[in-house]
Amino acid sequence: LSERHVLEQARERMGSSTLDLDDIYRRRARRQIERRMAAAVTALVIVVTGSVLLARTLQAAPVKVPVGTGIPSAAGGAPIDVTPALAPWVELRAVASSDAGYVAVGATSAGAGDVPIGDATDPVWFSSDGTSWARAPRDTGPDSPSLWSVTGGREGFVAVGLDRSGTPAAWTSSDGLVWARARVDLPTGIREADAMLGVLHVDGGLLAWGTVHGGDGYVWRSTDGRSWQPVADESVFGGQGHQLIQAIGVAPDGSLVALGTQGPMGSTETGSPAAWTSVDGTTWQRVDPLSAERLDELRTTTTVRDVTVTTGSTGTVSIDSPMIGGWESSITFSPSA
Amino acid sequence: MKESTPAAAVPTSQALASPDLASFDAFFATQRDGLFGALCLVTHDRGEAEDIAQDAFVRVLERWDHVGAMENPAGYLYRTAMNTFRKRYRRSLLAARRTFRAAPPPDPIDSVEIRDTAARALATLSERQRASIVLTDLLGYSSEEAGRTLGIRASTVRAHTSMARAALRATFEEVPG
Repeated sequence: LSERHVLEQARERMGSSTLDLDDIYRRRARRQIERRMAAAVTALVIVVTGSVLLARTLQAAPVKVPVGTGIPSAAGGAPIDVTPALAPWVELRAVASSDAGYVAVGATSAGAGDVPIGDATDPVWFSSDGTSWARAPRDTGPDSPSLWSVTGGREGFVAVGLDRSGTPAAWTSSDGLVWARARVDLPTGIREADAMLGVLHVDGGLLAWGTVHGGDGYVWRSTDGRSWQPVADESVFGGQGHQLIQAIGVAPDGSLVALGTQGPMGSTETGSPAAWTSVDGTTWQRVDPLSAERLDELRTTTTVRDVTVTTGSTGTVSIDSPMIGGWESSITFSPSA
Repeated sequence: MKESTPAAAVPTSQALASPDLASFDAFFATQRDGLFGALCLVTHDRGEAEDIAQDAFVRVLERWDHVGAMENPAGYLYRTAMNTFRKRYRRSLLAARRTFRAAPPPDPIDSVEIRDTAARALATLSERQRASIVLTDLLGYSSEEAGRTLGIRASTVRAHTSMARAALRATFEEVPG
């Protein structure tokens, strides 16, 4: 028996799917509604952000929109969706700015449609003005197939993700174009799906988080982005089952809050809210699970200067409708005048 | 350079010339069970397989005016499904999806496995190993194509496939006849 024949037989024995054609049409209709709602929310954020920026920068220069990039006109200062300026297969995940410009990171979606083979890597895009984007040169960009987050500051950019071998990794760049690999202290037993997933500036340096051992959370600290060390006690992010840190934010009182999920090991489908807090970013403690509504925070909208990136799951999370749709991202440029 | 469609990947629907919804309905009827079965082998979870299959069909429907005119829409469907699988596996995005859902009923896939030696052998493998052998040996992807779909290197796909084949062979060597 050939492997193919054996597999064909096994596939046939799985029986019939219960999928119904009407369900497909209903779900498409629901996705269309969700997209419109998300677009409305994003537009509201853009309008608010644009208004604030307009008030702050009354003398901002008019934006010159490049011709032929597929970007709509900026007449009247209307927001410009610059997503078309990037390749259609791009999965945008985060954007950051520094004095040098803007950096957007994400991943290609190999396998979804007409994907150019040569673009399976190079997940960094740079823009000096927010409207015209280009990939960081391959020979100077991060050697990564997938970056999950980026942060910017006076010193430049720090991006995190995984390297080509599947190891959690971070990179730094002063200009968004030339990137250098950072030194990341890793525990033993790194697995294929492990990665650094997020990074943000905190008092005294930077904080990054990710997943190790195929199911434990992990937090790193760094003073400059070029060297990363684990926090004091990583065991609070581990334990039985999987723990996944989705985001870390700063609470109104200045303390840090890590939000994520926990669930049975080996399952990518089940989980319940999990949270950790820290006063200094070094010592963390686990706290009681959050309410369901807080899971809305899995969807994030980030605005830096006048670029907004919305990323996360579509749909809403509530006790009545505990469902998250697919991962969707968009990026918009809202000119100040 | 565009990603090629696996030559022997999937059967091509007969009624796909016209990119209208009637042809999508026919496409759905033709491809539903085959895609579901392949995803069952990859995910080892009928619920997960249904979810991914549904998601893939919805995405295809959204682009049916384009996909329906492709030479092999089924290839696009399978790539979309496997891409969804890769994303879910990589990020556990749906970790909170069943947070407040009651425990699911016993999965009938278990009873299938008891009868099916191949499925039982596949159950001993990792998700990556299952996905690798299904993509390459069942759907006809090259190692490079499977690697891009799964987000891993072609050499890793070959290693996974080799281990999966060994597991299958070992299982059948244990079964008389």
